Amino acid sequence: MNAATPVDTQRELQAMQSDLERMVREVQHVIVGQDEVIRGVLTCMLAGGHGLLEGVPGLGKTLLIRSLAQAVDLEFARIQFTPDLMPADIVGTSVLVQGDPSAGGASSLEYQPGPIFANIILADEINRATPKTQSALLEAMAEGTVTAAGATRPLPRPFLVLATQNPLEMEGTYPLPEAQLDRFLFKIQVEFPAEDELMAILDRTTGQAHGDVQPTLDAARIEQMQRLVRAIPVTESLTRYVVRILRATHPEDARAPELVRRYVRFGGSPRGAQAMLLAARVRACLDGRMTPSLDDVRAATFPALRHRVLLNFEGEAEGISVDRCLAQVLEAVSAD
Amino acid sequence: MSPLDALLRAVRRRARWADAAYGLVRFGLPSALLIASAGVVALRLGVAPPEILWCTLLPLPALLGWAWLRPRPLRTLARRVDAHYGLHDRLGAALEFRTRRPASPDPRTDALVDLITAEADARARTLDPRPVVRVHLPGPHRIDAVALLVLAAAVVVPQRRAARLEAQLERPEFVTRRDKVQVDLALAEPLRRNLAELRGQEDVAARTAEAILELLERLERGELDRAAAYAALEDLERALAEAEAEPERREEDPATLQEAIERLAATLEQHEITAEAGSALAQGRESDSEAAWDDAAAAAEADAAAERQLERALGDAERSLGQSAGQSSDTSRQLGEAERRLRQAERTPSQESPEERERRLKQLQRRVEELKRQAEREEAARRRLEELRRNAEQAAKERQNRRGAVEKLSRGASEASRRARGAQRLRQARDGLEEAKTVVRRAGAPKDGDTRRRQQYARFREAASGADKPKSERGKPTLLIESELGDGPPMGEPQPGDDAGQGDGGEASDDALASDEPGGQDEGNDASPGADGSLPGRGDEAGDGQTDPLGDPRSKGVRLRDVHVQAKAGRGVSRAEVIRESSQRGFATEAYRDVYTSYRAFAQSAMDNETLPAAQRRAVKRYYQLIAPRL
Repeated sequence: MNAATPVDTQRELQAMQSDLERMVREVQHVIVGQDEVIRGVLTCMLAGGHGLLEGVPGLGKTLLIRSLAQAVDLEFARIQFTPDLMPADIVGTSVLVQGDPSAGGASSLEYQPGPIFANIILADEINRATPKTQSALLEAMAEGTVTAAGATRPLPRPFLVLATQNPLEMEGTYPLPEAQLDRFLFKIQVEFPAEDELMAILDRTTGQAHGDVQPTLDAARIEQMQRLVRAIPVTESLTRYVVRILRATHPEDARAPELVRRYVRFGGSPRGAQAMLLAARVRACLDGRMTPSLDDVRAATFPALRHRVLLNFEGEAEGISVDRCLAQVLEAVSAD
Repeated sequence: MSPLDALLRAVRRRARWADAAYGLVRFGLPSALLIASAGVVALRLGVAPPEILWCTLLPLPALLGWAWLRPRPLRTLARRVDAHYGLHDRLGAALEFRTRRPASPDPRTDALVDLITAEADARARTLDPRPVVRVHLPGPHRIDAVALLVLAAAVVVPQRRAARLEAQLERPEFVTRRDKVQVDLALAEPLRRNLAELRGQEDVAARTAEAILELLERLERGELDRAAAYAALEDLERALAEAEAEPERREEDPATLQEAIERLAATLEQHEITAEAGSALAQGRESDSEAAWDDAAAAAEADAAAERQLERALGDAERSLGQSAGQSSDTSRQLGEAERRLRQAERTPSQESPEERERRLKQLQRRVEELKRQAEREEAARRRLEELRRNAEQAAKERQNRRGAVEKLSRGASEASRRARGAQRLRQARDGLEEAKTVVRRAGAPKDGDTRRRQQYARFREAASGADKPKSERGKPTLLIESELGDGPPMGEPQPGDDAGQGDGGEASDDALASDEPGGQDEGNDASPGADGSLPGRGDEAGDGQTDPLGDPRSKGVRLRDVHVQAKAGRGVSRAEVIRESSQRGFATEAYRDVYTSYRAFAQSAMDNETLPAAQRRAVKRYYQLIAPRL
């Protein structure tokens, strides 16, 4: 609460917008295109949530997250998820440490923190690990703490998990359980780059010059921004619109469209509504606006709900996409 | 009022006008056209007064009211302005924050709300409401064309009374007989004379009379049989009944009016200055009467003696009309008597059966109702006469504008005369029609005595007129009544009194009726199936008339055709190939779909089973996807 006057608040908002723009520009030194993905990851960071990036291999998911971590000057850790990865490999483990012989030489167990004790965690190919290992992230993502060796330890702030998964290779994978999916604020689809973007990627990656990312923000600034985002006022009608959208993803709701009624098993959880509203606030901030609009909510609906809406068997078998259901929900629901 | 409120109210006003314009063009115009069509049809069918066309304007207030009262919340309008100017709901949010500030522990939220509202007001001052709501008129729509067509069709709907009368009076749809048996219409001579007197004017009575005359002539010439003539007369009767049922003919009693007009005409004829007007009125020449009144008024203005004479005439006319208006008829007495009898019948128990008693009571009630209506009509006629009397009184007293008062009186008298005369002519037409029906019913085939009866009738007419009757023959019968006059079977529904006519004329009539039966019965019996050669040929004449080019397979003359099929050498397709092809084509059949639908629930429960490893769920899903029916 550094500023309380309108002028100061406006100045703070403008400063935040310019800082974020600068950071995005730094990331774009390395990443070509993928504006929506960058925006989505930023949204996760400013909203204090976690992101799940889904895309085929080679689209720069890992590079994007690494570049983002460099741009914000935060501690970054990458965990490559494999089927033999164990929970202790993530959260850390107690190791036997030989005591000082001069002092009696008694050995003791000492906790060695795992790679999760970083600000930004890249959980690469998260669906390759077993559900047991995946679940090791649950507490960290939800509570921001890790319980290991009989003690609960807080994780550094800000804490952001960015997971990736490949939608094509399903052999030997373990789809994320619904409970863990719900922990992700956004599920971001990484699309294949357009022709011009692909040209630029080739230019940058096959020549001599390599992009360099300079840090522009630090942890304290990001936390400031996270607080400012939550101070953005939201109208009641917008909140109601979010609630209506969420309810309409449930097949038993009166506003639910035909696709939802037929193919959806469970609609979005309340976390989905929280994600939509927070994401709408972040979008407004990114655009330098003081309050979110209906368009912000609509834009946030897909990444916030696509992993929370569960299709029934018929929907899966018919190849219905959740995005299609959500598009129909947006058509069916109107604001006051 | 804040600039934001002012902007939104301006937008709301424009939205109302835009809605009104749109609604009027899109819905009001076709609605008005359709209502007008209905009104025109109702008018032409005679089931509604001309005022019904005012209903055409009904959509106007309805649509204006809709456009004005339609709820348009300012929040919605603000959203519209935001969308138009790409403001990302800034104005709408400011409007909402003004009424409800969000509660937040962070003071920056309040600061942002203040910023938002201030910014919205600043923007509202610069925004123009006009582009937000454009008042545009929609282009022509299919429904407009349909409505126009409906109206055009309504305009060409024939007027019911006039059209039917014209059709029935001028070109009746008579059935023409081939054998042309002439009928005896000797008794129709007086009817023809009466009908001929009705002709010559442009009214229903004249047209009816002309139609009856033409009908009688055609009947006599044998172009019509009696059944067709009688049917045509019944059509005429219905058309005449419609004309009689017109409201203006039922308002005032024509007999009362006629009597008063005759008395007025006689009074006027007694004065030199109004003699011409009275004479014309008595003869039914209303326009001549009005002209004569005008001349009399002009003469009175020019000459003092004529003025005094006119004053006296008007005074007499006033008294005459006053007497007529004050004269009571016998109707009230009859009404009182009928009501008394009805009450008595209701009170007094009778020996008759309940059905008969009910019928008798209904008859009495009808009589009372009829007399009441007659009394009302007479009262209406007396009111009109009283109005005429006041006109006459005013004309007698008025010196400055006597000409206008006289004109008013003459117009009123002419109108009353026209109504009375029209009703009288309708009565005459009705009488003629009834008589024509009787004549047609009773007309037989011409006999040898036809000419003789005509001569007798001519002699009777002369004798009745008394012109050529010698004194020696006075007191002797002048018409020989013969039994053949009423021959022929009853036509149409039997009526009392027709039985007397049944006799030796039955044969001719039977023939006439029989000739109307379809004459093709015998011809039809003679025609044997297949006689026209339409059936196919049989036997050795192979192929004639057959659709099968190979001929009849039962006969020996069948033309055979050999077909050689070349088979492929080899092992043929394997079972695996058959299955693979089928899988490409798809196994989906209706029966399989049914099985699949019932199977789906089991699949879902299998998916929900927690014992199924998460990693295997996708495999299960894939399995079910593969066995799903292909579209």
